[in-house]
Amino acid sequence: MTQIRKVLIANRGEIAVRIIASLDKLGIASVAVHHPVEATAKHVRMAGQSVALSGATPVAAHLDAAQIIAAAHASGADAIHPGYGFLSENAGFARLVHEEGFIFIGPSAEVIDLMGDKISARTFAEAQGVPVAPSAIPTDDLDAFASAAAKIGFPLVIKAAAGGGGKGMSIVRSPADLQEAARIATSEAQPYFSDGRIYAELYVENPRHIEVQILGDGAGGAIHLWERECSVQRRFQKIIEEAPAANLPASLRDDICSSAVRLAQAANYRNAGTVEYILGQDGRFFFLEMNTRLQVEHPVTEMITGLDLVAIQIAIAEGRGLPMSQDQVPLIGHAIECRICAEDPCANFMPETGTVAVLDIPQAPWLRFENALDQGQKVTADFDPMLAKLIAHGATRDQAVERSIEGLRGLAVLGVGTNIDYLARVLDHQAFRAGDLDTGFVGRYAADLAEPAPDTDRLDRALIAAALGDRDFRTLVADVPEPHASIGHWRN
Amino acid sequence: MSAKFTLNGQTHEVTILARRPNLIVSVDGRSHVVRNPASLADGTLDIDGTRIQLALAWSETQPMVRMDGRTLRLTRIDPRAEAAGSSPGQDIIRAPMPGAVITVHLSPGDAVQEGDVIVTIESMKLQTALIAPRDGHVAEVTVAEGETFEKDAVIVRLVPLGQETAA
Repeated sequence: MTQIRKVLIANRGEIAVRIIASLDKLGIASVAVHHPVEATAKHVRMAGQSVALSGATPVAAHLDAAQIIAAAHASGADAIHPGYGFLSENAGFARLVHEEGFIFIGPSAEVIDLMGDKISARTFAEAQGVPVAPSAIPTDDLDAFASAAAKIGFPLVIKAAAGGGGKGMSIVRSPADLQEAARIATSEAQPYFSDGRIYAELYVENPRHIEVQILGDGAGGAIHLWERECSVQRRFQKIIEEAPAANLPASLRDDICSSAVRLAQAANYRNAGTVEYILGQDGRFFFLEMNTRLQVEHPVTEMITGLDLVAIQIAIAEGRGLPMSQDQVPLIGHAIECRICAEDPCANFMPETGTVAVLDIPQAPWLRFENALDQGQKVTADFDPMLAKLIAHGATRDQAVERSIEGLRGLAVLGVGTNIDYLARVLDHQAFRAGDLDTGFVGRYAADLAEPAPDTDRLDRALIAAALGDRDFRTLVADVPEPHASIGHWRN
Repeated sequence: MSAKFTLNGQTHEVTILARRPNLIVSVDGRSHVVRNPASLADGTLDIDGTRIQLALAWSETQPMVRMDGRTLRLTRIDPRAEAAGSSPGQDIIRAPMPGAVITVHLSPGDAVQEGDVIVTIESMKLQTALIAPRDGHVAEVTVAEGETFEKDAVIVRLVPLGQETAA
């Protein structure tokens, strides 16, 4: 067993802030890294120290393994936490971290490699008796691909072998469209992943996205911390997640969770990970992929178990093993996470940029607001549009829904367009309230979820406020020497 | 004496009717009494005797007003721009968001039909096609593949309407 004393967080934004919060509680020193454009960012201010990285873009800096290793040496860190995204699922980085004498807070490089390739992951899962959907072997030979894929039947989904996040993914409903879809998929995959191989698998209509949080000790021991449902998605990316899944029969939950544990045990999985599944309307479930890192949506699991996953990750990395046995894992109430994104839900979720001029965060014992936002902060195209996460806990799902809506209504992020009001409309939708979810939710209920026109009272009030906030109009109001002339300048 | 805003394509006008003893404004012809408008700086307004809690911030020309857990995003019509006449928007394609150029599909001199993709851009993982707003010819593509640009940057110019035969 080793004692970790100083952790470098190879990440930024809300997840870096969240990791530092746990390190502080544990009395472990923290080291942030930053690109010059974010030198005053929240994660930099919170960390005990921060090391500047150079790079043509901020993203390039956070992907620069050599610079991050150098920062770890320079700062005297003994472990590296990769967060999610960036280098978190890069086996080469994990290997380098280990070779340079640091502890990587995550699984072994071999397991990252195994799970990072969808094909090897799938083959491994199948060998452990984890259900996988019928599929075609990946290839970049488009003719061979088309004939193999056609045998699966339609509809089918084409995916990039090295993919993720929906890149190079498309649904094909008829044999006539197969060739063209394959061509587009491989041409999208090649520049993104430097790997043009694609594969096809049976497309499950209107599936639910169910995933299982697992913990492994690296020596064949593993437990699960229940499932999460992440079916509400736009552009193949999750926007609302909850734990546990709504209306999931107990036996089905057991099957899904125990298959995830089986996979983790067989892989000698170490640290926290997530096994993702699609669940068909007929109750059949299929392995989707394994994410070998902390997930964006891990707080819903923390809320229903009362556990701190980052603290557990560190304990496992120190060699202390799993925190408890399976039958000791609590399940308390229900939790929902909403991803607050800078985007316009009325314009196909197009990313928005701007400056956060107003930031008002609701406070309640059952709410968590994970963010790295500052008033006055510029939201640019440099990073992902996710600004923050609002997580609410309730004794029941109904209460968690109510508290989430109340939390969203109390949250103000102004100066940049966000999806806050849209998320509240999703939660308030009767299908969501009923727990009637699948990945087609956003598209199916698009009309119901459109922004309703304001009533006249609300419209007039907003227009009066906007006019009074306009410098030219205010000059007119204050034309005579009155206290009105002292109205501040709110514009920018 | 007025400020104009649009919401969902509709124009709304706020006009000052009186300043004393209280500010009275007309919104599209409906009059409202606003007591102590300076309290807006503290996040409240008294409109027709009702105390309203709100937050206001501007995103460029767009005031965002949040009341009762809901944000209304208006667009201010700049009276100077309005006076100068409409812009030749049909000839110029601007970036809807900051980002980078993925693919330039057409070159100057190429004929385009309305809806043709001229440039593919990417911002925050989202690819977007910039399409021709009308039939015509490409006059200029101001960016090359891999280059970055800011929001509202001119990306493509079409040969101005009426000069099509020159191409």
